Amino acid sequence: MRSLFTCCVASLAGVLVVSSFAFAQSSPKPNFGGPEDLYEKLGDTGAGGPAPKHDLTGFWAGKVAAKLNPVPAMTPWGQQQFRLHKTNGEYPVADSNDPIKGCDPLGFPRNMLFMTRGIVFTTMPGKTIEMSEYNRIWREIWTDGRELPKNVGGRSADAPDPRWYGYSVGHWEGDYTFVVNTVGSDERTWLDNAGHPHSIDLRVEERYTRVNHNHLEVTVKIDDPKAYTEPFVITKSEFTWIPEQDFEEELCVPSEQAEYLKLIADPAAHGKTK
Amino acid sequence: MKQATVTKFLWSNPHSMLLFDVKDGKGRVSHWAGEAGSPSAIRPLGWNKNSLQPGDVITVHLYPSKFESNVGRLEKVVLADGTTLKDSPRGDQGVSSRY
Repeated sequence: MRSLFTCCVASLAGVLVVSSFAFAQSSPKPNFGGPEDLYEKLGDTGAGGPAPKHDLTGFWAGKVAAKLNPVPAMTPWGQQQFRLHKTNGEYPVADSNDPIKGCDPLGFPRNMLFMTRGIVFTTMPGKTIEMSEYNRIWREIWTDGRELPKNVGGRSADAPDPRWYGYSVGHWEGDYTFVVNTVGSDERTWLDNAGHPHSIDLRVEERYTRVNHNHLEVTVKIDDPKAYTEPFVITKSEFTWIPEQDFEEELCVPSEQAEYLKLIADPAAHGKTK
Repeated sequence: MKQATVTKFLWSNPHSMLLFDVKDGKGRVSHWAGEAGSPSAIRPLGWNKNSLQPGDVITVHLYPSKFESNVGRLEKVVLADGTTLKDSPRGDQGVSSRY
């Protein structure tokens, strides 16, 4: 098992502080300060009062990446797909085949596991809309009692197409837990940054529990018998109410990413070793 | 890198980038590129779009590539007035373990 923290140029040597005529190396241990994200910056905001009933409306701050539980054993199909995935952790960015390398959509449920700095809920008649700060994604969660579509991606003429963010329906369990069920996520998307796969048979259950006015707990449960030998909860994460009800714009901009690959990622990955 | 001269600062997504020049003792200039987090990741640490301007002379601390290329991930930069701007933690790759 390996754990790598790169989001960036892989193959980095120790930190370098160089004068105009000499190189010197110090500790390679990262030396960072300050908050990692708005969630951390907000810190303990207190309960803020009781949770309103049947209401998630508003802007919420989360960790930049959710803490994930280990996946269960994969099926032979799952293992085969997994081996094809070259992650940014195992390979230099330039050599990975992570779909987001070129700013393709994270897709669902990966967008609820990574780049979760901010989410927003708003309610319309018959549906709740969940939006993400990252890439300004939105998901339609139907609440009018309709069933999820069947046979997404099937061969029949009326089979719905797979979607990057799937098809979702939601309902309330009690006054404070909104349950969202999703099918139809496009197989081109990865489950997580470790390159775990999912199939078109994936079913996801999200449970959003508003603990009080300022705190929201989210569990994401994966059920994909084509890829995994048993269902599992991949994460339980927390979000905090944002007092200003605003957050940064954060997009993966293809032209800027291309510039990054040219200026940094590609040179960082290849050439003579020092 | 001390006495580094900023040539370009890209406040861009999903990675900000700093381009700068460094002279060695013989006056030879090398061109470098350093990567930092996205604007939304580094703004809380004190950065903004105008933090670095071409011509600024700064000190750059970075994690260089192990290859012979003048690129790396920034750790921090120190401005002429002593202000330190740190890069964001790299948690934004999330859990990437393969098991």
